[in-house]
Amino acid sequence: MAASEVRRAVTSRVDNDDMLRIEWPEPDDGEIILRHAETGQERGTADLGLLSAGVWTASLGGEPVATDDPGFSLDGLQAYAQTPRSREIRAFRAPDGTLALTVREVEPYIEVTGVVADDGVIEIEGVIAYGEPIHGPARLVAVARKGPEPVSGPASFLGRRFTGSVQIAPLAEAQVRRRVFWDLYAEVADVRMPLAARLDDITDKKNRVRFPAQREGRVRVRPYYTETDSLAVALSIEEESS
Amino acid sequence: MKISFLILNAYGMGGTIRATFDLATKMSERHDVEVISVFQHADLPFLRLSPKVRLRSLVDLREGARVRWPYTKRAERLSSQESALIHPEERAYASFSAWSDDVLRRELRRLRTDVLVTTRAGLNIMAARFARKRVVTIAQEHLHFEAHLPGIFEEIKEWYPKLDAVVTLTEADAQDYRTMLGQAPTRVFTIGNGLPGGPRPRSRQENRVVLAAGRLVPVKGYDRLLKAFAQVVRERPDWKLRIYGEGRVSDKLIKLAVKLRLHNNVTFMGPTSDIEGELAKASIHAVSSRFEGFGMTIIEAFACGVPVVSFDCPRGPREIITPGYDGLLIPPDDVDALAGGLLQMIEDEEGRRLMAANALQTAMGYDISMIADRWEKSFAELGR
Repeated sequence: MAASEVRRAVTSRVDNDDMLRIEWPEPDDGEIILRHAETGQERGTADLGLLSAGVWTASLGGEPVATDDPGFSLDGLQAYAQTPRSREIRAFRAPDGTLALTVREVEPYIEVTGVVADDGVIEIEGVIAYGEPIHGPARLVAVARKGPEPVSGPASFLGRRFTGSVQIAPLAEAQVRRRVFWDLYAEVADVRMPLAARLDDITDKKNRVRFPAQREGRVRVRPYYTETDSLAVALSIEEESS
Repeated sequence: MKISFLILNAYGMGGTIRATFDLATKMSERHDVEVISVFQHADLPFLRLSPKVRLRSLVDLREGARVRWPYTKRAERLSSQESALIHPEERAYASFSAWSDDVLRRELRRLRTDVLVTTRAGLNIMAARFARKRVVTIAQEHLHFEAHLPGIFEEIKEWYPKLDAVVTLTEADAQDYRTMLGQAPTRVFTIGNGLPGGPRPRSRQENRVVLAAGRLVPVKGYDRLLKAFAQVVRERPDWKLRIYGEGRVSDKLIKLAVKLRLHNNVTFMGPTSDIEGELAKASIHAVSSRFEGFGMTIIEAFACGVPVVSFDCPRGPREIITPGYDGLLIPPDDVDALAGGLLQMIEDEEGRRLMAANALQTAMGYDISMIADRWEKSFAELGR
């Protein structure tokens, strides 16, 4: 039973004020040290704002902090993203059961909460993450990585909520090569915010999330997540045989 | 006491290997324990085994492996011939050869140990045929009774009465073996798989996530889970389903999920080496299997404070889950009822938290030390 003699945190999370909150089964007065996995730099937890980007492992008295807390809630990540910020700090439980933090530079974007890809339209629902609320009309803009001019459709902001749609026909009509990829943005007053799904723990969404495909003539239109979990649309001309 | 476990291949990953390793590790605290692997294809085992347990293999399949004199020529000749001792309907038949027959028979005839635990039908029959008289032979069955095809079942009927005991994972299987064994002196015990000790992460019941885990194969019934979850989403679009694992029907399932327009709610997460960490992020574990030999993930979910909604399929779930206490049992094959059960568990948040707490209690009964005690009791009853 040696393993269970190690004291284990009951709760270990970064709250909305960027404070690392750890609850132990009994009171504890030791100091948590954070260590940057890449550079070995060490810091206390008093001001997480000083942490540079990357993964930081937590230790107490020279031992890694063991935790029984999975580290976050999905609602908690949504609530955290309601505050405008340039850096995101998250606690997580590593597969070996120890506490670590990730620190990432962030810019305002639209966190995608729903995608509908039917009836010749791509419709997006989302919320503003890490930015100020916005009210009023906007555009959902599709920008081809190479070739055609941008195509857009109606959108609107209601505080943090965003909805927008774009017709697939104009995208398909602009098809100049076998494959064209379009990145999606919410645009208001000449400012473009990317659309992405990042407020969870799912890695490799590119391969794990499959959206329905629509057909416009011989062009197949399918939304997908890129390697950075941004939302994009792939248009490809179907082979004669298929 | 010297205890020997005989297993097909200790170097891979899978339920039988993990259960055997956990048990061997626990027993090595008090006994002299070895694991004999019929085959070896890697230098080191994939899963954790205590250094106190001796691990050795009989047939080395690694590249460049050589068989020692005087068997070198014989091994070359026999390796290309099919096994004559293992029944072709043994699910792992393709792994065996005339050379493995030769080595296995020789090993069993000379093995001096107090207890020999064999872990699958083909090896159980070999132990019945060739183990020394003084060795207590215990056949473990990780497969559900009816999973054996008729041909190998005839051999099981013929040879199992020569064994000292059969250990099944479920009471339902034990009943079937008792009936099959009739007047034979062979004892039948039911001992489930144990959870290794040590701390594990715990669900806060705060994420609206249902988790399913297991190979993506038809027996797991994920097609039915997806259809049920499509009904759940109509009522509760804020809930998500995460399916862990990989397998040959993954393409079909992904297509079905797209057809059901579940892309915003269902994610195929792939395999994970930390299922407990993933369980602790979820609030409900769903089991949609057509049958379950035991249901180890149900116990893992319980141990992480996650209640289970499961089809009442043969055979494991009903022996582990107490309906309304730590989970729900759904009439098998009824997709609407599965959706109803999931919605019931989703809507009744207070009841779910209570079941989560009860689940932790249930899990304690499967602690590996309890399971090891039950094995030792059975050894004592079989002692000579």
